[in-house]
Amino acid sequence: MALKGDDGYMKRTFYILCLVACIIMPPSVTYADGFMNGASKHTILLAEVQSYGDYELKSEYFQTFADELIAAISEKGEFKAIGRNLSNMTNEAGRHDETATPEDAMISKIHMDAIVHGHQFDYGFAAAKLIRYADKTVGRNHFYDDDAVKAWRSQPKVLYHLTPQVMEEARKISMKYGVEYLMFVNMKDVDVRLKHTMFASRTERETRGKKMKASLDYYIVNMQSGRVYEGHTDNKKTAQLLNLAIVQLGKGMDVDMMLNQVMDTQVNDVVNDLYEHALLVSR
Amino acid sequence: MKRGIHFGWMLSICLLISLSFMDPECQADERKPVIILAGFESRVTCIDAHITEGNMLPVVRETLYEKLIDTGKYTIRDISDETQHIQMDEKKLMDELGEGRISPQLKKDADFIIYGYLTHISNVKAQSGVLGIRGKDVTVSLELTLRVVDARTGVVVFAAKGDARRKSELKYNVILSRNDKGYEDAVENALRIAAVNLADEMIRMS
Repeated sequence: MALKGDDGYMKRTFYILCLVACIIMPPSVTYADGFMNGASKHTILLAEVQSYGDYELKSEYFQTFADELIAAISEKGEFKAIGRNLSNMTNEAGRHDETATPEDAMISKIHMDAIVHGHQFDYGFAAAKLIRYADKTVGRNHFYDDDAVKAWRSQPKVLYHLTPQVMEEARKISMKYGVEYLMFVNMKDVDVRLKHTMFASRTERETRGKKMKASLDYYIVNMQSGRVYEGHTDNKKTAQLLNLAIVQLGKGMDVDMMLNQVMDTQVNDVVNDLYEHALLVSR
Repeated sequence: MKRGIHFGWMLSICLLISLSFMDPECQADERKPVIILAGFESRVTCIDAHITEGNMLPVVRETLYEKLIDTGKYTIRDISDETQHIQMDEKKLMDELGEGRISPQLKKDADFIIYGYLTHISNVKAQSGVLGIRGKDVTVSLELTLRVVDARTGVVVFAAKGDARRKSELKYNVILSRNDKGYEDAVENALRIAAVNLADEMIRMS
């Protein structure tokens, strides 16, 4: 009886003390999650923004693209994008193998794995690193099976899987950052051409007629289902300024400005596509 | 007697646990996130205007600082106080942040660090007309972005973009003639407006 009485007393005391502790204890500091509306959104880690095509861009361009993409994704709605860290948000080191950490190298590998299994991969217009990876992973003959490649390309919205070992590594990275999706952007092609240069009477860089074409692929890896969604966008921009003897007409802009405008359109296209097919990706 | 000892011990343990969760700074600031404004740097290399950390970019930092502090939502600390506090020079601190390394002192004192960039600046020229009747205008267009870094994990948790346009040259000759030029002033005004837009974007999303 005495023991039972003691137990009851101890329990009561414990509950009272817990209550006292709850009153004294301030509510846990939640602003780190709540700051910037992040708490209830699905989180995407923007793991890499690089070019695996046979064209290359300055690293600053990738950095700015990453900033704009993260801002646009978070602004639009139910997804929130984050970057790995300040210095390596685009995985410059992982792509180019300079002072790459194992995580950098693995992110580059996951991206390449998503590309070579994807619908848009073109063996003839890929960076050397990607071609080597494709040979090693899928086998060179695969890319010369024209019928199989054509059949696969005709179903651009079909989801697919990464190599199982690569997927395992992707899961580890996603758990480290606490995200549901990994995102990779391959800015594979940027082409600037001068047009009608015989009419451009001045030689300053902004006065010439120019035409720019840019295309990119992006990949979303769903960590729960293990499936990959591939998106693609193509954009063009033309600038033309004519300085004839008696007539002046048009609008001129430098290459940076054109790149910037193309980038804005690309970011919008990617974000719209992401949200349009978000349900598909989430399955 | 025994009960009294048990009660005393349990009360002490509970108080210790409670005190360990209490953070006097957080309570004093009513749990406002503490943000350090690290600074802005330029990602643009080929420009006519001389825009550097010591020249025009402080305009951006000051404008952003004023706008954010006006909201009352955050506790903003300028980097200069921080640098005094941890006895590091600003350049070194920003270089470290740029390389993704966050000083242990910053991790302790801040929740978020803002690091910004001038990402784009250009002069777009539009012209039309024939001999004797013609006009030309040149517009400075620039963009700023910022990254908000979680000071404890180093993860970039938020990014925002702000842009602005200002006329840097206006020239026409139809009935009246006009010829206004002022590239540097246009750039400075555009930077200020872009910083305001950037702050608005951040406030709206937070």
